[in-house]
Amino acid sequence: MPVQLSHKADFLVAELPSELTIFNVREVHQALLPFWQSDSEKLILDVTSLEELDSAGVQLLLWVIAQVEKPAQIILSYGENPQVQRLTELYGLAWPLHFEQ
Amino acid sequence: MDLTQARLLFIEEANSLLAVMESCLLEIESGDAEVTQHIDAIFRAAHTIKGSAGMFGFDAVVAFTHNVESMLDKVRSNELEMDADLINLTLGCQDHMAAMIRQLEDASETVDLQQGSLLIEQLHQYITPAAAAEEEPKQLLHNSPAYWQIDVQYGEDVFRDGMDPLSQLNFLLTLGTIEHVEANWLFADNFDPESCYLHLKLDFASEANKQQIEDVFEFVQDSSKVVITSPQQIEQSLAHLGQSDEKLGSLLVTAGAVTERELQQALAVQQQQQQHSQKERALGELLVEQGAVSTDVVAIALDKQKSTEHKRPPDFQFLKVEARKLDELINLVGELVTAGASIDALLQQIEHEPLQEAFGVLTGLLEQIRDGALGLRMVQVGESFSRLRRIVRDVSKELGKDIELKVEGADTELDKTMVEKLSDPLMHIVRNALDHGIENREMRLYKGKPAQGQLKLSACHESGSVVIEISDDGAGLNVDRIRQKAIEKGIIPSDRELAKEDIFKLIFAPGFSTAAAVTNLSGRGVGMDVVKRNIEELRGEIQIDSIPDKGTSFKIRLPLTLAIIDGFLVRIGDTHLVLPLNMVQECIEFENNDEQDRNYLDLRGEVLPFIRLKQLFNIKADANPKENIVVVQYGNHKAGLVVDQLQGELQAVIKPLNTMFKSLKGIGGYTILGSGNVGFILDIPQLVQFASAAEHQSCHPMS
Repeated sequence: MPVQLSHKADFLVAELPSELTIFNVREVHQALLPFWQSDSEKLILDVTSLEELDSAGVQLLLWVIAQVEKPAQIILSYGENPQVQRLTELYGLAWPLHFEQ
Repeated sequence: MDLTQARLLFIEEANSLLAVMESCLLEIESGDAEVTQHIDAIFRAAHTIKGSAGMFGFDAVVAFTHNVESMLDKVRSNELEMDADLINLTLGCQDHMAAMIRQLEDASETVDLQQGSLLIEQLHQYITPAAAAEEEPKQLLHNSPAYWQIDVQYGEDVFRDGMDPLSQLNFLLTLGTIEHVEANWLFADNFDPESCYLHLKLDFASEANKQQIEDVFEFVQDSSKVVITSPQQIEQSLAHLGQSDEKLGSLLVTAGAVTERELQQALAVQQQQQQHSQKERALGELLVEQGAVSTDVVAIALDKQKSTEHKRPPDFQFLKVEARKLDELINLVGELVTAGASIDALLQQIEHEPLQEAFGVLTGLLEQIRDGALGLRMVQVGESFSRLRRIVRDVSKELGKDIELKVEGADTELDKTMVEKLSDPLMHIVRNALDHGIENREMRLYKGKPAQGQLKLSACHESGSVVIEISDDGAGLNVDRIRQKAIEKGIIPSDRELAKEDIFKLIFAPGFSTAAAVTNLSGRGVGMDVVKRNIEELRGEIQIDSIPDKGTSFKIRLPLTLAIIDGFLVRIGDTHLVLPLNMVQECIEFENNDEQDRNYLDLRGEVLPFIRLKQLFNIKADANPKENIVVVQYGNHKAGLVVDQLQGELQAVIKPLNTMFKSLKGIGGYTILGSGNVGFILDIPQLVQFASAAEHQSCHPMS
């Protein structure tokens, strides 16, 4: 299972695998489908365990964020993940509300 | 903007300044004038040449002139005496500067470099070596890394092909620094996670050449659209290239403006067009379309080429004509129109159709000549604005400030001589705003302002004058510091109390400068006094408004003299009057059934005072049963003007009244109407003031 889905308060928590690259973006994209089908409106993308991330992965994260209508309804949780931080810097990205665990 | 044009303007300006410098020096040498009379003008000439040359990156001119300027500065502050030897040396320097300018004009001219270094050596004997070392001109952009703009629209298949834009970013970091990155992800409706939707825009500082940068994107080149914009250095290096026999393509490749691949791509398109017997398009045009190069660069390169095949001295591209000759021409054309109108009236009487038709053609041509002749003197003020645009761009880069220039009303037309005389003052004000007005990025952010500074240039017609406003959102003028500085410099006594507006005016005093550092651009205390004088010479006035931390605005108000305005033509008896259209609010019918001689009416619940122009100007005409009121507004004032007939809009060329009639109140000038009649142009604010003063007088005859 590439994505672990669980519920936390009124959030749906999607724990992403250690790798998010061109090799599994389609799979992860599919795995996130239940969120769009569920009644849940709020999503936490947990990427703390990410070890490998490429531009296709970043693109998928950004796409998911773009799909959520209100920015307050999504949280990207990445802790101090150096991979995510490096890409954030390189692309000059701004993630919605992240918090450290 | 056409850089070649700006370059020619610089050359023209430098040449005239050098001529001023020469004649002043010669007058001092011959004893016709004192050193003190002319030293400011000489210093200013050197200062302006250095400043403008700096804008265009003519480093050699800047470096040499800097030494001359430092020496002249010492003469100005009485630390050096301008003796015969020094005059000689200065004239030698002036010759050398002229030679350098000539070389910019025509690269085949040579400059004696040995002579140059000899002169600098001699100058250094006058300037103390310590001061010289301290004032070494700061390194210009030339040796610093170039700023490239890279725009990559990645193709959909980039990820699938095994490419990652990340690796390109990482590779770019080995060549230089990414100053700014803007990543846009343009997701399609049917999002496919394996497709790439990235559009990347980068500001990249690097000493690498275009080919090296392009190589980074070699593997995505086929699937993506990569546009690399050459930095300004390329323009400079291209401009520094000698005349060349090379083809445009190879010239651009040599200068590093386009890569071999881009050239081949454009050539292929050209060839394809040839094969399909389509109209073949110019290579430069194709390269611009491809995004490989900017029009400016192509223009410079073409110019280099053109000058080889067709060496036309730059003097012939502009024709300097004495303003007097133009004035005479315009006057004659005015007479011609008047004469034409009277012939027209005669022709109406004899009713000879072929003759009338033939005359119709002549009238058409006459109108064209009139417009053409007037057009000769009129230029859009935007011409000098665009020169400033380049300056703002270069200076803000040099100072490391991010400044946006907003231009409004660039199409406002102004007499050519005015535009010319305005360019110096405008340049000084703009330079000051850039250098001292707008704070650096950190300071702006600290003050809670947007990081990007704003400079606004606007021009408009207002109350019968042209108003040019230069405003910035910088630090504003520091009233206390100006006052303190003025006291230090002995401009005002220390116990003098001054209003804020009067303190602002102190910056126009000669030798005044509050800037702590003297930079290449400004801060030497020349400039603002010249600004004021230049504007006063144009019979204009300059106002300063400044709010601390909000910004400063300079408002230059100039008389129209020969400007064209949109006017509204009215008639009283046989007298034609023109009102500036922008002040006309509305026209209403005047019901003069009220026998009472009151001078106000009820305009939709508002009291509207009105002026009976017929009485005011004492125009003899039969009473008109159907009069009209034109409601005019300027500022917050509103008034009505009673006239006989409304005749509609027209474009009026304003001619100044003869000095004999200057004292007439309420008339700003005149214009020759299409019929050949003279129309008087009303100066509404003055007219209203005059009328109310007259009213006041009649109500209070004793006061």
